[in-house]
Amino acid sequence: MDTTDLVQRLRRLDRPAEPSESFRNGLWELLEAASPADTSAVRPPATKPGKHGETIDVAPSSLPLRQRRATGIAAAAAAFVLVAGSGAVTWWLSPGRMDGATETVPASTRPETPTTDRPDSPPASVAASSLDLPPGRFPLTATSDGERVWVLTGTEPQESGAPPLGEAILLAVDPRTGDISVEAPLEDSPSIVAGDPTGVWVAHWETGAVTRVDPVTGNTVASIALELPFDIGSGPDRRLFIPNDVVIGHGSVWVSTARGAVARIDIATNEVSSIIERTPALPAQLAIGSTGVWVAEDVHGLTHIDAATETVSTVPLAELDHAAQRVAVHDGDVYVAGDRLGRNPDGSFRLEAGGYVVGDETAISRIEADTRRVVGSTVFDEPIVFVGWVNAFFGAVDGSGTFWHIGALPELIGNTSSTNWRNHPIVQVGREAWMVDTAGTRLLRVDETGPRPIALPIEIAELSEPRPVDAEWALSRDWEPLAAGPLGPRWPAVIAWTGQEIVLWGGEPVGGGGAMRGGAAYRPATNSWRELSGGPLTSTAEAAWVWTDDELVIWNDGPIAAAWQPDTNTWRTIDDWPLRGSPYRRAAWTGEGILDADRGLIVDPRTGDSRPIAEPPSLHQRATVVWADGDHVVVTGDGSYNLQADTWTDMPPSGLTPLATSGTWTGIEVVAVDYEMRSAGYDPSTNSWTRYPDVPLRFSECAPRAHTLLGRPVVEHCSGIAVWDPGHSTWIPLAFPQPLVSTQLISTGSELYAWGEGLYRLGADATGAPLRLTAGISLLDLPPGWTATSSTGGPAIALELEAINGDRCTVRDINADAESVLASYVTEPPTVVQLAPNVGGKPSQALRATPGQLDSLHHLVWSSGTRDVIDVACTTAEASELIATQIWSPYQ
Amino acid sequence: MYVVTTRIAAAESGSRMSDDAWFRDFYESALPVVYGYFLRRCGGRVDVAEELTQETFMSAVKALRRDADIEAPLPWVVSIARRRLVDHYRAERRRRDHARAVHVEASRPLPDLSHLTTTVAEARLVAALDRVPPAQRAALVLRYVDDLPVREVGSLLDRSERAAESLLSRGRRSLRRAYEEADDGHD
Repeated sequence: MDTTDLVQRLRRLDRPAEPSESFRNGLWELLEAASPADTSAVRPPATKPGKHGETIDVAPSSLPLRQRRATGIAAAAAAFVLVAGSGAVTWWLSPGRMDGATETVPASTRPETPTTDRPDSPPASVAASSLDLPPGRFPLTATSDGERVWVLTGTEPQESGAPPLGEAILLAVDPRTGDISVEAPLEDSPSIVAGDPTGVWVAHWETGAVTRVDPVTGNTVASIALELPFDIGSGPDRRLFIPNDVVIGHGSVWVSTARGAVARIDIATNEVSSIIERTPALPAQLAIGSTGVWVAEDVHGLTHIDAATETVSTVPLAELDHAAQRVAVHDGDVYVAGDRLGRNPDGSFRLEAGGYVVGDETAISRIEADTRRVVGSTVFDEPIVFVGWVNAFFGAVDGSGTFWHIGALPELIGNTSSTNWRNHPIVQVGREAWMVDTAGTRLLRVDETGPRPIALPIEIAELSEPRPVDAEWALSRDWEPLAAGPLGPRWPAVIAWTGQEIVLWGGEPVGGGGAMRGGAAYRPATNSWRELSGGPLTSTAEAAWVWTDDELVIWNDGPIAAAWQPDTNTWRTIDDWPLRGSPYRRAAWTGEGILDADRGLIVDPRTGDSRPIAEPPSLHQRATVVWADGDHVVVTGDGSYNLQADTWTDMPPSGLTPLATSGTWTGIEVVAVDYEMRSAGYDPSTNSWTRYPDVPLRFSECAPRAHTLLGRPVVEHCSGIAVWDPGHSTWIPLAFPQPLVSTQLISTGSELYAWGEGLYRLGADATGAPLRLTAGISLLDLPPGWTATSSTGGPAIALELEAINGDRCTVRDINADAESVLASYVTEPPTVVQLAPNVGGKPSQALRATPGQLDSLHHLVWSSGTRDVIDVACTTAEASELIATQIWSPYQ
Repeated sequence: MYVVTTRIAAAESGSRMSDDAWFRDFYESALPVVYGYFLRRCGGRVDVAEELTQETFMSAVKALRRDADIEAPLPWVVSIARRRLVDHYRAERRRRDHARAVHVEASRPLPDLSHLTTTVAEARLVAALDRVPPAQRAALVLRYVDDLPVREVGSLLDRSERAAESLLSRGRRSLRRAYEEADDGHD
């Protein structure tokens, strides 16, 4: 079936479909609850009833309000929901409150839940296990004293996150057996619980009091009244302390309120020791840190209250670049999550109707607790509904139910495909996360593995270890020509990095013609060359080499090896070399010896003595041996050898052809690429592959080579160079001002050098280069029915195209930097296209593509310049539009 | 391009947002359209289609509360559905970008579309569409299933018209490859 047929079938996909009756009826019930005719159901609950029928201004009008979006954390924090992770109860800032006005409702009216957030039962797949409560006990929130789970329940389901309906009872449940050891009735709208081995603390929404419950008897042993130190409004509840969150630490119980205060209760005396005034803000979530308590203050940023001095310091919104809505502390760092906010073109935050405009994304930032410095952040499409521990892994759960693990390997992520993650609070119980099924009578332990495990999110990894290489970095750099040396063009040469110098030796003239003698070393620190002394080895094109930390050992098919010592610029002869004739890709320096995977030998380069290793698997031609993580030698596509155990492990299929597969160790994995430009990463610790996107370089009959630059893989191929961009999970081709067929790359780890017609270094800033079409490659997909009939070479490419219906087009690529254009031409049209890189009119090695590769990708326009103009002229306007829209760049 | 029943037409002519009967009629007629809209665009996954349908109607109800004078409710609710679908694709793309786990998707079996009146070929097409990278899939769906102009596709996906064309070009190629793979595995 061709593409046209598929497109036609796509057009026929659009038909109604009948959902199941249960879904139809269930959704109708939801809609009915919020139907346009039912105004009571749709009124936003901006106020709550006071004890005496008055209204309470929950969000003072001075609060910088936020515009809401349809989805996101705001939805997760809808009316009266639990703030996950700590059990805090908070009010919803409704759209009706954007102007700061105070609404009133009758005292008998209970705040309604926005219908979009009405929960139904969570799917069982979220849980590795569940904790069933007695019938008729509906959970609201939970905490842990280190052994038992304390669950605040009501006798009626309370889906809005409000205080329990009916009789409120605090249950102490053994999470292993489900046995209930304590049942403690509570009064006065208990809403938040926090526990530790000394007891359980309950904050009461209606009175503002905090009670202390004996963990053994369940009796209330103390009740501490809280009161605001300032007035809000003038009613009888003007000083009511409506609790939002409770945490225990530094000898105190800390209670926050969105009305603008944090109260501190001394555990030793059960008395309020201080009340710290804060900016009124939702959600006022708390987290205990090593020196104090952290307060998430939404658009006011993240605040730290020092436990010793009670001094307050804030990481402002401008530094966070997003609101602070959820906060957790892990391993000395603070993780804060919240909505990203809209910005004006000048970078300032956008305000509308006096409120911040919420963007479409959320973010998590990592903050160094000591310096208050934001050291990393990552952006999510989904709202973050929980930050904390999930089954002993620290991370975040987003609104889609995906768990993002933050921290060191191994990374485990689960995606449960739950539809209800935004509707059910998740609370931290020790190092486990439990989802509270507020519609049912159970708690569900969140399992990070889930039914559809996926791999490590790269951007989270960057939280821990920011990397400098990204698309912008790569594309804003240019190749800088370095000092001319004593060597003429040669390929393939021995090329090695000694830590101080790049050493070149041997090779053949470009285009063949016999071995070239001699070598030279380039020192980047001085931008200078020195010639190598004459050595004992006769140069050949197929030399193998290894840098052993103090010598460059080179051999070919002769009986000796030669070791060049950089300090003295002298050579040492190693007689009876056991590795004669081994391709260099099969040898790796292990730190103690040269391992030859082909022959199963480890050779001491000082003596030439060798010892056997375990029988290696049969190796494919041109597979590369990579010294990996200190124990493993990986033969890409064939197997993994453990040096310590002297064992080989078979690899699972990589999806790459084992032929002509090259690899490089990035510090995390071996990234491999085959000559058809497929790529994958191999983790020797798990013996598993992860497929990467294909490298966007054209197939050619030459072997790729992989390098590592700044921890990122770089692929070198005769048709181009590409670097991995972790930010976008894609490969970025790099422009290069020379024919690549005679170029060799060498990475020092932090810099990339290219040897061809001279030595170049990647790193100079490009001047004024727009990013569009600067990446070195544009592709033209010929539409069905079109063929390329002819093409003329550069500096301006002219490609002639013809359609079955007689339409004809000329495509011209005109580049201001004529020297860098690689021309193309067509021979034997329309089935075979030959691409021939030219530089300044000098033809270079031709690359031949087969008809099979021309299925859809018929023509390649190469450019390293920054000012490409592609001109399309056709016999009809329709054809011009058609062809022009078929030209694309991988960077768009 | 959507099937509009006479009931909907009648409802449109006399729309009163506060009219319960009108709303029930609107729901009954629009639900299969919206649900069908999502179902085949999301790999035949009932759970996803139900979630997005629910979100769409919830958004619609909220909007109806604000503006009771929607002139053409069905196209309007489909436009809401389209935005939800684009959001869904975006979220999915981000997850996949993070995951770098294309191979996981490739192993997904054909969707169970037995609850629909459909053909094996359509099931393969839906499966193939679901294997196309999310951004490309979004472009394909908006252009060919929703029949939107390329410029509008680009606008919905925050891309230039040219970039949307590029996306479509790659999407067509990916779709064909995915369809052929589905064929290989099930013929």
